[in-house]
Order: sequence, then structure tokens, then C-alpha cells
Amino acid sequence: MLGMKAQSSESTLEQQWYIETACVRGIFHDRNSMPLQDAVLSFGDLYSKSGPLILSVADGHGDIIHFRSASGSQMATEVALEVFQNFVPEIKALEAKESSISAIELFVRQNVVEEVVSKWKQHVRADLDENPFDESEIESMHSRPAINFNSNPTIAYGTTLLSACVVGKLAIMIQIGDGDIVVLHSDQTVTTPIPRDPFLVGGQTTSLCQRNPQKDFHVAVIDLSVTPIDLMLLASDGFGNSQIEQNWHHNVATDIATFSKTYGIEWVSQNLPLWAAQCASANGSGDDTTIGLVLSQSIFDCQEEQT
Amino acid sequence: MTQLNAIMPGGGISRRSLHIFILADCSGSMKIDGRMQALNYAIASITPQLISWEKEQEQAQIFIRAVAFADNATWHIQTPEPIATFNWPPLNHVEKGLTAMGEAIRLVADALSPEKFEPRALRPVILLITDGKPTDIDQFEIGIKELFSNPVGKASIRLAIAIGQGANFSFLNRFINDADIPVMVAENADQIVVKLTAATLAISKMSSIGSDRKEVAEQVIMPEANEFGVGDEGTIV
Repeated sequence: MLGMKAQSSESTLEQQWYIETACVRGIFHDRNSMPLQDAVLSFGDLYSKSGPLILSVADGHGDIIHFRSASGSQMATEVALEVFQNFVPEIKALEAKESSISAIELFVRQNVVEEVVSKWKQHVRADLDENPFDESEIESMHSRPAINFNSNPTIAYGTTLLSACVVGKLAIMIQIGDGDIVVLHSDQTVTTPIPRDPFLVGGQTTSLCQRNPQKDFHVAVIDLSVTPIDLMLLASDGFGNSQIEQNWHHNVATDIATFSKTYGIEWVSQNLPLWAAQCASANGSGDDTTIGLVLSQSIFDCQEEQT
Repeated sequence: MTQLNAIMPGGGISRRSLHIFILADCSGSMKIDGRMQALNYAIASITPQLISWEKEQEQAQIFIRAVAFADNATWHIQTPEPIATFNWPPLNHVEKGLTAMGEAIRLVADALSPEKFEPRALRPVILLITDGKPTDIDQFEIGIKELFSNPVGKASIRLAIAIGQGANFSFLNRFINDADIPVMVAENADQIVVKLTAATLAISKMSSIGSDRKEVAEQVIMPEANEFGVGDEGTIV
């Protein structure tokens, strides 16, 4: 996925986008013989017309009861990509009708989120049918007798999900669980469209595997014709938990934009895995770390103008 | 390693913090059998263990805070002290002092409020050491409520060491609020060091990524507890 350039020549959004991703196993996962439980997936090739640009990041939970969370996070990214793709025509129709942002948010919550949850559970059930729990997994289940895996086997696959879709003049974001979505607007303001849940502390998180996960999904929609963006960052909590500054979002976003302008996309592409690796090392959180970037060509246009 | 020295965006990275709160009983009864001195000695003696654990695990930077409670509760160490440079200032018992355990819990609950506690820290550890029961029961009730209505407090790892036979397990179990984790019992002053060492080990294991608290309690705390018959108190449901 590194260095992938996504070009949209859609009439409503004459803009090129780049997607860069990096996903690194945390050193403490390595030391505890735990797999990489983060996942990242993106879509957005050199399509000719109105295809969407989609980026998804998921962080499978590390607790032993979520012993299939590496699969769960992978499924979550795949499902988000599929669902957003399926709903593109309807989203575009809403946009064409000049529906309000709140109406689009409602549509996303009632359709995209519902479908993501439903399909993820379907994927989990299909995986369970194909690969029933083995003896060691059943032993892990017995370690927490209070947890009823029979009534909710998706617990084994527990994961967060952050997903962003750029379609037409809209940037749509959905999120359940910890992690960060940071947006650098073209006027250089930095926002976190999805606020941090105050109860997500000490490794506790909301999850796709919980009862009624829909209620804990956050949805945000940005009208790019009103507030265009230069950069969008999606990161698992391994990244944010490494940052010394509590309000790191502004400096990280503006620094990445500056690096992009100064050194170009290839440099960002080469360095992104190193940034993730630093965070995943003992110098940072030591946790699995995933960073996904959506960069607007407008950043590089500035570079050319400056040159 | 050269590759890892990439220019990073933002203000830099660091390990996550692990905050340990020690709630130390300084009531009048702590003078019995040299308990207060034993507690001071025990905390001083576990410091090197925590320092070496910090170096070894490389996962978290450990910070210590402490509350002393007798007639009332006050911060003994209010600013988080990095374990690497930590020196335990000895506590003294308060002659005929009461056991304001509730106030002590309230102080910690306040420090763990979302406005005050750093969000990226690991789940904090609260270690309560007492030889009695709260004399401020109304404050205890409020403190417990404040602690568990706070997301960080609820997520915290709570351990309790009961010194002697005077400690009341029902209050300590309500503080721990986890059927998998029993109260540790120090039958006498000499055992305070042993129990604090076990608590340190429990803290280190429970704070590790992917740890199973119940398994850690069974390995580290319960053998000690069972040795002194704590299991009969119904701490493990």
C-alpha cells in the first residue's frame, strides 16, 4: 500500500489524493509472543470517475480473551471498505440532492454503521464455522468463566475500527474504540472530528464485539467544498499513546504537512514505517502501531508554487 | 538502529506512564509491633525492585505518589515521583490517630479524574496498606462511589495489604472490587516486606500487555493469601 496514489478526476472534486500506510507489530507483542493485531486497508486506485477513496485502520484487542483479534481487525478493515464502496451511489445521491451534513451523518449511522456491524459479525460467524475454537482457545475462554462466549463468540475477535471515505466533496469518518482521526484543513486548522471517549482509559475500549456496538460508533462528515482538507491521519492507539504531548494532534498533522511539502511524497512514504516502528518500539508505546495518511495533492501544489 | 532515528512529526515520543498510588495507614495502631517502621522499610526496600523492573520491562515509566491517612488524609507525595530517582520519605504514626481511609480514597479518586489524569497512561495501580478499618465510613462510601464512577478509577488495578488481625476484609474487598484478587495479609511487621514484594510482582505482571489479572493473582497473590487462610474470608467468589 505504500506510496499508492489515488487520483480522482471527478468533476465535483478535481483533486488528487495519496494514501500512505504503515503497520508495525509492537515490541511487547513480540516479547509476549502475541501476533500483530492491528490491520490497515485502503482503496483508491487511479480510477477515472467517481470512485471513492477509503482508508481503514483496526486494532484487535490484546487481552487473552480476544485470542482471534488479529483476524477480527483484518475482517473489520475489509468489511468497512466493502460497505463504504456499496453505499457510494447512495451517498452521492444525497450529495447531489444537497442534503445537509447532519442528514448525511444520519444516513451513515443508520446504514453504513449498521451494515459494518452486521457484515463483521457475519464474517466472524463464517470464520467460526470454518475454524471452530481449538483446545488452547477453549482453555483461554475458561480463564474468564464470567464471560459467556456461547452467547457472544465475537468477543474472541474483538477489535476497534476507524474508517474514512472520501467521495465527491465529502469526507466521511466512522470510529468505534480508541485510536485517532486527525484532520488538517487547508486553512491550517487541525481538528479531531471524532472526539475521544473519556472512558477509554487504561487499555479499555469500546469494540465491535460488544453488545450493540452501533451505539458507541461515532460518525463525522466534512463538506470539502466548505472546509477543504490537506491531510487526514488515522492511527491506532499505539501511535497516540507514544506521543509525549497530550495535545499532539496539531503538531503531528502540521509537521507531516511540512515534511510533505519540503521533502515530497516519496520521503513521507519511506519514513512513515519508521515513525510507526519508533512508536512500536520500547521508546514509544511498544504496542502495535498503525498510521494511515490521506494526503491531498494541494499540499504538493504549494511545494511547486514555493519552488 | 540508524533507520529508527527518523525525524518524527510532533513533539516526540516516550514510553507510557504507570502511576502507582500508595495509601498508607498512619493510625495510632501502626505503632504496635513496629508496624510503621516496618512499612517504611518495606516501601524503601521494594523501590530497587521497581527500578529494576522499569529497566527490564521497558514498557512504562513508573511514577509514585502516596497518601498518608490517620485522623485525616493528606498527600505524602503529591507530585508523581519517577521511580528512578525515588526516595521514600519515612512516615510516622499519629498517636491515637484514626483511620481516615475514606478520605484517602477520595484524594486518589480526584487525582484520577479525567481532567487530571494523563489519558495515555497505563491503568494506574492503587496499593492500600492498613491495619484497621475506616473510621470515616461515610467518607469511605463516598470515596468508593467516586473511585468507581470514574473511568480511570474503575480501570485501576487495586491491591490491599492487611496488617495483623485488626484489618477489616469486607472494606478492603469493596475497595479491590475484583473477586479474582484477594486481600494480602501480613500477619506481623516482618511480613509487610514479603507482602509488598508480592504486591510489586503482581503490579509488574498485571501491568504487562496481554496479562490476565486472575492468573497473576493465582500465581502471585493467592499462594501467599492461602498460606494465611485468607481464602476462607470469601474473597474469591
